[in-house]
Amino acid sequence: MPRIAYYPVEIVEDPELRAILDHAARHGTPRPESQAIRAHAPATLRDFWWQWERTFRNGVCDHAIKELCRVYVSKTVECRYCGDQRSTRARDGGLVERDYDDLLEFERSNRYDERQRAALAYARAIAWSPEEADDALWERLHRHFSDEELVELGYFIAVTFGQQSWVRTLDIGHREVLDEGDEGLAPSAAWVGTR
Amino acid sequence: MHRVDPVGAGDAIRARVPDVLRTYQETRVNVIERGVVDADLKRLCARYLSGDPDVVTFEDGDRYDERERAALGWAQAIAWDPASADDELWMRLHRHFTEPELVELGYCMAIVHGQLRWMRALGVPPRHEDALGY
Repeated sequence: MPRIAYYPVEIVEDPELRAILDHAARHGTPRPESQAIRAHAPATLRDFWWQWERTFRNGVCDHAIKELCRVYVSKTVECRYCGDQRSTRARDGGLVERDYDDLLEFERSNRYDERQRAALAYARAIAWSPEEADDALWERLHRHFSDEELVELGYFIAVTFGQQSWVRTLDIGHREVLDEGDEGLAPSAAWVGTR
Repeated sequence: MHRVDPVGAGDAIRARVPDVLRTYQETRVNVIERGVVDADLKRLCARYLSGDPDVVTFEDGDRYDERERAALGWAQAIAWDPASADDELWMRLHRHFTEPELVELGYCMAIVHGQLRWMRALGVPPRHEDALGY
């Protein structure tokens, strides 16, 4: 059971909040359960929606890079709930499930190109070792990204790292609220309910 | 006293991407400064998350009341030790906070925690007293 009860989303009448929750139910991203927790405080539900729309789904940095960084963070934070979420937009853009497999060994894997490796090293530095953000890392980053892309990418990594660090304390699981299918779930989570 | 407050380093960097600056400013106004949890408690948790030596030892002595200690215990779980978010901590949290308060406080700590880590990677960490909404 979640540590904070899911808000009874069926009673939400505000059109903006209703649309946010309906989107989560239909598309599975952001996940409906975490959105049903945020619904207790409508400002947080609205806020996360705009974080997600402006700095993850859209923006100046390509979405697939941000999706890889998001799942890298999930795997290192060990938030399985978050890590079993998949971006349908990234999938439609060509990212395949095996692209997620080597994230923890991204520096050694030949699955990722230099640009992806630099982004993942940025994610590692932000989440776990800011002291790694030395001249060598910044030189790599500036070789592959514009300043604007680095700002958006870093900001998004910070947001998803913070949210996942919080969500992992809540003990929430998939298909516990607004369950309308497997959209937005990893194949491994699509058939067996997971926490 | 400044006639117009200078823009901090965090916002000067976010301003490279107007949607990033706009989004964080909305977060600052709607979630960090306003809401059902008082900003002083959020500021105390932000100081913990920034590593303020005066706050990281919150469990020692009686400087903080039970409500503050429950909130700081959750900050510790979010940032460093998720296993410490156990039945006992959640019982304390529910004793002192409503569910809307818990969601707002947890969400706020999540935002601040992430931004502080990013600012450290950028080489512009805020002073501990400025950690909230930097």
